[in-house]
Amino acid sequence: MTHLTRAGLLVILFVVAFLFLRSASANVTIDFIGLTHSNDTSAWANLAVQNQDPETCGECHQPIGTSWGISDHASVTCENCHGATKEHIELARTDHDAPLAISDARDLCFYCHAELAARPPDFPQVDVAEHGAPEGGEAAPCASCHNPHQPGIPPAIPHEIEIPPKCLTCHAQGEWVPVSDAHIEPNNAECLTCHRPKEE
Amino acid sequence: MAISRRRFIVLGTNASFGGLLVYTMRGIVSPPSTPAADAQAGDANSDYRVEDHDWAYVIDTAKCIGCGRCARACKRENNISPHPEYNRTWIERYTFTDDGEVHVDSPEAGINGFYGEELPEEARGKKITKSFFVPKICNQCDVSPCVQVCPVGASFKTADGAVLVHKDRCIGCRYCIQACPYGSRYLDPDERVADKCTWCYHRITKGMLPACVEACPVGARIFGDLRDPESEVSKTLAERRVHVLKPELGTKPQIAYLNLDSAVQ
Amino acid sequence: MDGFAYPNEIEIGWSILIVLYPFITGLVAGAFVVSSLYHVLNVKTLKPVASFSLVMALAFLLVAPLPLQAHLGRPERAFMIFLTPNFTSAMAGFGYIWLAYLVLVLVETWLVFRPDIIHYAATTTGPKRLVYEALTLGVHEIDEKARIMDEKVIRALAGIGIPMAALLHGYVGFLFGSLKANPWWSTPLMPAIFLMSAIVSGIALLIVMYIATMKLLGRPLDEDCVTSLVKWLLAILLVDLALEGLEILSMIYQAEESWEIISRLLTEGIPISYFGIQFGLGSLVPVLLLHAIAIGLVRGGHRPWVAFVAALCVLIGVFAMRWNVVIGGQLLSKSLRGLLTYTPTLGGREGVLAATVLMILPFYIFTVIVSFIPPWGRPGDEPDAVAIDPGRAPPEAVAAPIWRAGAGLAGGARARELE
Repeated sequence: MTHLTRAGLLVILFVVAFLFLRSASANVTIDFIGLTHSNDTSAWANLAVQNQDPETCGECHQPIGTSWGISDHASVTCENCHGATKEHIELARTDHDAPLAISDARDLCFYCHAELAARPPDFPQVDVAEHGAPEGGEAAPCASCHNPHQPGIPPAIPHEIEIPPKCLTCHAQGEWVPVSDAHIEPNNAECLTCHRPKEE
Repeated sequence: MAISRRRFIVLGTNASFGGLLVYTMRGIVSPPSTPAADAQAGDANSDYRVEDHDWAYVIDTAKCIGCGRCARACKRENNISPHPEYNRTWIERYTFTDDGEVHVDSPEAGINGFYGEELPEEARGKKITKSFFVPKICNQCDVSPCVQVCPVGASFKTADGAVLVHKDRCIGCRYCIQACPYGSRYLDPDERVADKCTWCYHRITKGMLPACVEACPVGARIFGDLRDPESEVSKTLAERRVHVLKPELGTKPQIAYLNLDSAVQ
Repeated sequence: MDGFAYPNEIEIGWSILIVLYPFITGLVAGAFVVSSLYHVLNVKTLKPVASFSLVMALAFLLVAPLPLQAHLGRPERAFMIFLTPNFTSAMAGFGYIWLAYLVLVLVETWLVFRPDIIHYAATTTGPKRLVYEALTLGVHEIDEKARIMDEKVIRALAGIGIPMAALLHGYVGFLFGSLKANPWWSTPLMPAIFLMSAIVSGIALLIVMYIATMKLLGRPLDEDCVTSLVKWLLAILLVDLALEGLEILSMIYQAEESWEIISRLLTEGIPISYFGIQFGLGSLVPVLLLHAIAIGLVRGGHRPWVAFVAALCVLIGVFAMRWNVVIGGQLLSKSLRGLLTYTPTLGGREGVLAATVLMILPFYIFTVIVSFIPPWGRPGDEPDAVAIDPGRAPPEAVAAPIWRAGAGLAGGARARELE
C-alpha cells in the first residue's frame, strides 16, 4: 500500500501548504472573517473633501455671502451654480489670480426653474419659451433681470444710475419700488453691491 | 492518531503564530491612504467614534424638483466616472398618463436635470395626470444582500450604519451588483472594483453633510444622527409617515421616503 | 433598452464568460456521475466509458475556474477567495468545493490508470518516461492485494464524488437561485434544475466525444454502452424538463408582480434562445430522437449517428439554458419596468474569442491526457485489431463494420485490469 501512503502524503502536503498560505494572510482574515460588520472605517474617513462649504466661499466673498445667506437662494450652495471651487480656492489662497467661470446661459437657471410637469406646483418655475423672451427676439440671460444672489427682489428695470448713486431718492420706504424691510439701515453707497439695474 | 494530533497542534500553532506576527505588524504598516487625500483636507477627524453614531436618511419625493444638483455634486465629491451608467445617486421621473400607464425615465441618470429632456416615447402627446421625481441612493440596508454575498468580505456594514466596500480587497466579481435589489452598485470602471454610496463617509465623520444633501436646494434630502433626538431626521422619522423601497425583500433599508407612491420600485 | 432600468443596470455585469462557467462545471459533474455509475452502482454497460468520462471530467474541471478568473475585475486577487472567504457568500464556497473536487478526481484518475502508468513507465523511453516515472510515485509493483485495495478506494472516491458533484453544481444553481433581488433567478428549484441539466450535458458530451473519438481513431463502438448512455440521457433529460417546466408553470400560475416583466423577457428578450433552442432544439428534438433509439425505431447502423445528433442538440440546449439564466436574468431590470440588451463583444478579456478559447481548452487538455494514458487501452494490446485488419473480422462485423464489431469488444478500457 506504499503508493496510497505516498499519494496521501502528497495530498496532506498540499493541504498544509494551503493552510500555511492562509495563515500568512491572517491579517486580513482577523478583521474580515464573518465579516458583516467592521468598525475600522479609517480608509473612508481619510478621503479628502472635494465640495466646499458656502462658509468657505464667504471667507473672501463678502458682503455677497451675507446677502445670499439671507435670500431665497440660501439653500442653493455656491457650487451648485459656480461648479467645483476647490482649485479656485487653492489658487486664490496663493496668488489671488483664480478666475471662476460661470455660465450666464438660461439653462443654468432652468435646471431648477423650467416648468416641468413633475415639479411640485408651488415651486417657482417659468415657461421657457415665453419667459424673458420678447416676441420674435432672442431671450435675455436670466441674470439681466434677476439677481441670482437675491432672487426674491423684483427684477431690475433698466435705468440709468447717477454717479455717485442716489438710489434711495426713488427707492426709499414708501416710495416707488421701495427698498425691502429686510435691509438694515440702507444707504446709497452700498446698494450696488447687491442690486444691479439692467445696463442698456 | 497521536501523530495526526501533534501535526494538528503544530499546524494550529504555526497558523496562529503567523497570524499574530502579521497582526502585530499592522500598526507598523502605514494606514490606508489614497492619492487624493491631501494633508489639509484629507485627515480623518480623530474625535469621531463609530459607535457613537447611527446615521439615517430621509427623502421627501414631494419636494424634489429634479434639478440633478445632488447627482452632480456626488460625482464631483467622490470623483466618479462621468458616464451615466456609474451612479451613487440618481433621479427618476414618474409620469402617469390618462390611459392609466406609468412611464419612468432617468435621462443620464438625472445628472443634467430634466429640463429639455423629452418624456418617454409612449408618454408623449398624452394627458399627464400626475408626475413626480424620486431621488434614489444606496439604501444602506441593515440586512444587506450585497454584504451577504461578497465572497471575500470586501463589503461590510459599519456600526454607524453605512455599507462600505473595501477597494483594496474587492476582486471585482460583481456578485454584489447582482444581489442588490435597488441597482445601487456598479463596477468602478477605473479601479475595476465594486463601488457604491458611502453617505460621503469622509464628510459625515467630519461633521459635514453628504454632498447630495448639501447640494439639494429644496431640502428633499434629510440626513442626520438618530442618536440626537433633536435632529431633523430623528423628528421626521418619529412624527411622519414613511415608507421604504421593496420592504417585502426583508433587506431593512435605512433610507426612508416621505410621500412615496406605490408605483415606485 | 426598452422601458426603464436603473441607470447602473445598463452595464451588464456578468458576460458570456459567466455563461461558460456553469456550462463547463455542469459538464464536469455530468461526466463524473457517469463514471461513478459504473464504479459505484455497477452499471456494467457503462464500463467502456468509465475511464473515458473520468479523463473528460478532469480536463473540464481544470478549466472550470478560468472563465471566472478571466471575468474578475481584479484577476490578480482571485486567490483571496481561498484565503479570506466570507462564508455567508455562496460564491466563497466555490474555491474550496472546486479544490476538494479536483483532488478527488486527480486521485481517482491516478488510481484508475495506475496499472497503465506502471506499464508505460517500464516500456517507454525519453522524457515521456520521466512523466510516467513521476506519476508512479516510485512504486512499480502492483500485486493482487494492491489491486483489490485500489478498487475499493476508487469505489469509495467515486461514491464520495457523486454528492460532491451534486454539491459542485447544485451550488452553482444556488448561487443564482438564492438572489432574491432577481425574480427570474430567485427560485428554490434552481439548484435542482442546474444539477439535472448538468448531468444531462455531461452525458451528452460523453456520447458526442465517445462516438467522435472512436470514429476518428477507427476504433469500434460499444453498442450496448451507447444505448445505455442514451437511456440514461433520456431519463435525466425528462426529469430536467419536468423541473424546468414546473418552474415556469408556477411562475405563470402564481403571477406575482414580477411575472409581467418575466413574460416580456421570454417573449421579447430571449424568445429564440428560450423557446427555440432551450426547449425546441435542445429538448423536444433530442427527446424524440432518444426515444426513437430507446424503443428500437432506429436501425443499428444509424444509431450512433442519431445518438450523436441528439446529444449535440442537448449540448446546444443546455448552453442556451445557461445563457437564458445568466444573461436573461440581467436583461430584466430589477425595477421590473424594462428590458435591457446584451451583445457580447468579439475581442477583449470577456469577449466571444476568449470564450471560444476557453471552450476549446478542455478538449486540448483531454487530448494531452489521453496521449499519455489512452483510456481505451494500451497501444499494441488492442482487442479491436479487427478494425485495422478487416480480413480477420467475423462476417457480421463486415456487414455493419464498426457498430456491430464494437459490441462486447471495446471494453478494452477496463479489460486490461483483468490481465
